[in-house]
Parts: sequence; structure tokens; C-alpha cells
Amino acid sequence: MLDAVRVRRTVGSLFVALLVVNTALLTLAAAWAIKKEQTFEILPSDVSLLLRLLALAFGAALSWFVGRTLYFFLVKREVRADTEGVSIAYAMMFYFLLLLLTLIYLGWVSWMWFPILLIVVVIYSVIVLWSFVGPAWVFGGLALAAVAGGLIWFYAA
Amino acid sequence: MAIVRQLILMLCVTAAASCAAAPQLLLVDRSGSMAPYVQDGVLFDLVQKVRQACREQGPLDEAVFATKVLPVPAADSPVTPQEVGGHWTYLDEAANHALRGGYQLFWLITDNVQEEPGSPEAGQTEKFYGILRSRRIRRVVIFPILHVPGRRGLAVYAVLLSPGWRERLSAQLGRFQSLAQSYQAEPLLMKPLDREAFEVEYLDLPGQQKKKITHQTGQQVRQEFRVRFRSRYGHLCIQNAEIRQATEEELKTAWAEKILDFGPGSLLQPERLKVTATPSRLDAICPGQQSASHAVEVDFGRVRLRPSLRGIWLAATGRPRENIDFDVPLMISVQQQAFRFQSSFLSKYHANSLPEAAQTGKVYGIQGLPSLLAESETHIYAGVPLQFQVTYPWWPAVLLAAVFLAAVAVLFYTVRGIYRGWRRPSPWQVQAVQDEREIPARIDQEGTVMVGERTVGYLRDDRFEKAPGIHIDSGAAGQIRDGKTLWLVLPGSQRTKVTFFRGKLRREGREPDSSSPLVRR
Repeated sequence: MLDAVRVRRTVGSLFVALLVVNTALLTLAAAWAIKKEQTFEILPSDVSLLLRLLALAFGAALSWFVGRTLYFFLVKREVRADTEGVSIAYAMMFYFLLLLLTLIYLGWVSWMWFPILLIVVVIYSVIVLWSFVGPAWVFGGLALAAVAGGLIWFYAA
Repeated sequence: MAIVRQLILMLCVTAAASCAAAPQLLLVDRSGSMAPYVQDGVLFDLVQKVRQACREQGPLDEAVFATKVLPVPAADSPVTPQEVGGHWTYLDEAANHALRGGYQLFWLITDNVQEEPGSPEAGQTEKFYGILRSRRIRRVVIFPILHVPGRRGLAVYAVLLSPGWRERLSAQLGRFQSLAQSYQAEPLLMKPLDREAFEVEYLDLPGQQKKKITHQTGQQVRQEFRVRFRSRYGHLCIQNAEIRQATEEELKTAWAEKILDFGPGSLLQPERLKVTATPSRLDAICPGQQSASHAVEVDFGRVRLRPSLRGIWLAATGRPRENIDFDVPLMISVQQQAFRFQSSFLSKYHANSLPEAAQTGKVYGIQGLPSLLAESETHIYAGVPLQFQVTYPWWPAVLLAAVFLAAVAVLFYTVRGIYRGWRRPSPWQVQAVQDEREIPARIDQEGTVMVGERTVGYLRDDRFEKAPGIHIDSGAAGQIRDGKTLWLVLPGSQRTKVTFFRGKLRREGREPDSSSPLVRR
């Protein structure tokens, strides 16, 4: 029982951290695009596309590895297995992928699409995690993300 | 053949140049009409000023002329009219002397800017201006020299033959102008009239905006902006002109070839180049004045990546976009008659007739210089610098990334294959012994274990299963290991000791315990 609580806490913490970081970065990007009419790029704009693509490939592999590790973590602790475990692992993997896309920014997609992708991932993760981590973690994560996004929107940009 | 001819020509020119005693020449008109200027000292004063300006840049030859040219140690030394061929002035003879001598530049002092129609030397003066219009002459600057009323003004010509001496000529012109201030000498650049004649002022160039315009490769690239032209001529006005796109031939012959393209260092190339100016007519414009605004549209068509391995590599691995600095090649075509001196200049220097010139001290016929020195049509290049960015296509990066990942995958599987091959154990073998005598035994490709011609069992995934009718007397079926021994009882045969092994059979310690009750002797 204690083990199950620890697992839920770990997954919940991961969810909140990824949600807040993604929201902060994408709010910053959207604020730059709308308020400053500039493209927000964390990597220097002169970094070659090949390097970005290789970083994406490496990061995607890393995201998959993290998701897989999480899945086995859940299975090993016999907390959730099969379909639900896979869904949780996928949700975290999508957060990692979105974070990765934000960091390397390929320039093919407008910044305005990233928040939409984030909303899709948030809805998916809330549905998947609701019964697993509980409403407190979900609402807490959403509230923290909203505060972080709001502060960045008004002050950082 | 053409190359040989050019080489011979170059050698002749070089030889002629080396034969010349000095790179510069001063030609002084000593015809009959110049005698009064000798008497009042103006001519010799001008000779000294030109000499002073020239000698600061190198040695100077001097010659005097009328209808023929006479080289002299000093152009201000006494010369009789007979020595120089009489009273008339053949300016073309003087110019030809300078050309034949292989000089880099020459100066000429004369009172004959233009002859009166019908005079015997009028044809020679026309020829002289024909020489000045020719391609061998690179630059012509004329100083009109005002005289005190009572005698007509003079003209000092500075003519550049070698482009390498342009800087030195510029220095000489500045020096002479400062020395001849008392004559109100102003330099009139009469050739070339097609270079640096206009300054372009942008009214709404997109590239000057805060954000640099960025295009994608493969897209139609079109830029529009408005400009005004400011005349940089010293004293010349243009009555009207036509603005058009420079032809490829004009650009290749007269200007840098990069204008046709984005330059040799660029990875991009435009599909076409089409430049239009609206209105295409340039109205009258005088020195320092600005024209009306003209809308310029530059159409590059689709901008593409150059099809080369270097281009693909650099587009993928280097900076993802390129800054294009392009000179939009506009041509301003001016008819010969459209060149005019500024009215303020003419009122200061020009006399309509020889009596008027003699009376006022002005120069006769200076008004006609533009039509004498300009081509029938002068095409003035007005490059309009344009800046924008073009992002390289994505496919070189994707291609190289795919190649890289494929190479990594191939390397990974190759290494894994080699490693597994190295780690792969030798195939299972079997030894059968009956009554301490080894009998033939083998395992075929399907894993069937044969002792003699009899099937005793099957080996699958390192597991042994006995065949029907075979009894295991000692040992157990199932997982086997290197050196595992089973005692089998084959129907109608003695007990057979079967030993499984890989590679070579290790005999020590492989015998089953003889004290075991399962072992029968």
C-alpha cells in the first residue's frame, strides 16, 4: 500500500513538473510571438537544421526510453499494468516530446500551434491520470501551471 | 589564335609603355592663337601649375604642338611657329602622340575647346573628341580657365589612359584645382558619364524596416520599394532619361557578374531577374537635385538551392538561412542631346562666339562639350542595394539526418552481428559409447540425435527429448549443458552412453558415477 502511494506521488510530481515547465516555455514563446512579434528560440538561430533534427531524434529516443522506463516502473510495482500503464507512460512521453520540440524549435510549425498541442496533451493526461494520481494532483498541477503561465505572460515578456 | 593575338598586343603595349621615358605627358598648344597667353605669362603659369601637380606623382614628359607635336624638355621654353607647324591647332595630333607614346595619362592646355564652323582645324577638333570618346580613354576632366576680359578663356584637359593611374590622376586634379584657384578653375568630369552618376534614396524599402524580410527557398521572391535618384554630376543636368533593367550583356561587359546572380559565395540562385521601374521616365534633374519617386519591383522568380553537393552539405550543416545583399541593376539611358550644363555654370564660363569670349574672358563653345564627349546614348548604371534573407530548404538536413541515422543503424547492426557471431556457441555434437567402444553418432540439422542409424531423440533449443521407444537409464531429458551424459537403453541393444558437447569433448570428470545404483555394469 505504501509502495503504491509512493508510485502515485512520483507520477504526480512528474506530471506537475512537466506541465509547469511546458506551460512556462510555451507561454513565453506565445508572448514573444504576439507581444514582440519575434520568434522565441532557445537554441541560437544560427544552429543548423541538421543539428536540430539529430537532437530531435536523440530526444525522441530518450523520451521513448523514459516512457518505457515509467511503464516498467508501474508494472514492476504492480500498480498499473497493461493499457492504463501504457497510457500513463504515453502521456509523460508526449510531455517530453513537446518540451523537446519547444527547446529545439524546427521552425516548421508556427508558435501558435504549440499551445494547442499542449492543450491536447493536458486533456489526454488529465483523463489518463485522474483516477491514478487523484484530483488533488491534477488540479494542483493545473493551478500551478496557470499561475506560472500568467506570471510569465504579464512580466517576463 | 585570339589569345595569341591578345598576347602580342599586350606585349606591344607593354613594350611601348616601357619605351616611354615617363608615364605622364604635358601637351601645350603653341599655335598662333596662343601667342598672347605666352606674352601675358598665363600659359607658362598654367604649365608650371600642371607640372607641379604631375611631378608629385612621377616623371613628366613635355611637348608643344600646333599642327605637329614637338617633344621638348620644357613646354615653357621659346618655340617658333615653324617648329610646331604653323598657326593652326590640331588637337587630334596631340592626342595621337600621347596614345602612341604609351603614356598612362596626359594633360593638354589649349584655347581651342571648339572651333568656329568652317575653320580649317574644325575637322581636327572633331577627331580629337572622337579620340576622347573612344574606349582607350578612361577618364576626361576639363578645367575651364577664365581670363581677364579682353582675351578668351583657356581649357586644361586631364586625360586618363590607364585605369591603374586613376588614384594618381585624382590627386593631380585636386592639386591643380588648388593651385589654379586664381583662374576659378573647376573640374568638369566629362567621361565617364555612366559611373556613380546617381545616388539612390529609399523611401520605403522593406529591408530598411525593423524586421528583415525572410523568404523561403522555392517560393516566389518579389520585392517592391520606392526610390528617388539624386544626381551626382558636377555641372551636368539631364533633361530626361529612361529607367530600365540592365541587359545581361551590359552587366557582363561593364559591371560585376555577381549582379546577375546572388554571387559566387551564395548557395542560392534566382530563377530569373526582372526589374521594372514605374514611372520609367526620369524627368529633368540637375546636380544635387532629386527626382520624383519611382516604384521599383524586382522579381527573382523562385529562389532555389544550387544543385551541388557543397550546397546541400552547407545548407544542412551551416546557418539555416542566407543574407542576400543584391544590387538591383537599374539602367538610366540618356540620349546625347539630353545632357546640358547647368545654367549657372554656363553663365559663368560659356561664350557663344569668339568675339564674346575675347570680350568677356570666357571660354568659347564650352556649351557643346556634353554633346562632343557623350555617346549617342549613355547608359548609366544605378545599382540599388537590396537586402533580404532566404531560408534554406529543409530537405538537405532531413536527407543528411536520414543518412546519418541509417549509417548509425547499419553500424549498430553490424557490430551486434559481429559480436553475436563471436559469442555464438559451437553447434552441439554427440558422442556415443557402447561397451567402452565408441560408435558413430551425430546430430543432424533438424536436431535429430542419431546413434548409428537409430534416432534416439531430438535436440531443440538446448533441450533434449528422447525418441519414442528409447529409455533413459541414467540422467534426465530436458536442458542439456556442455558435457552432459545420458545412459540410454536402445531396443535390442546394450546400454549406450551419450555425451553432448560443443567443440571438443572434455573427458575429465564426464563419466557418470559408477557407484550410482543406476549404473549397471
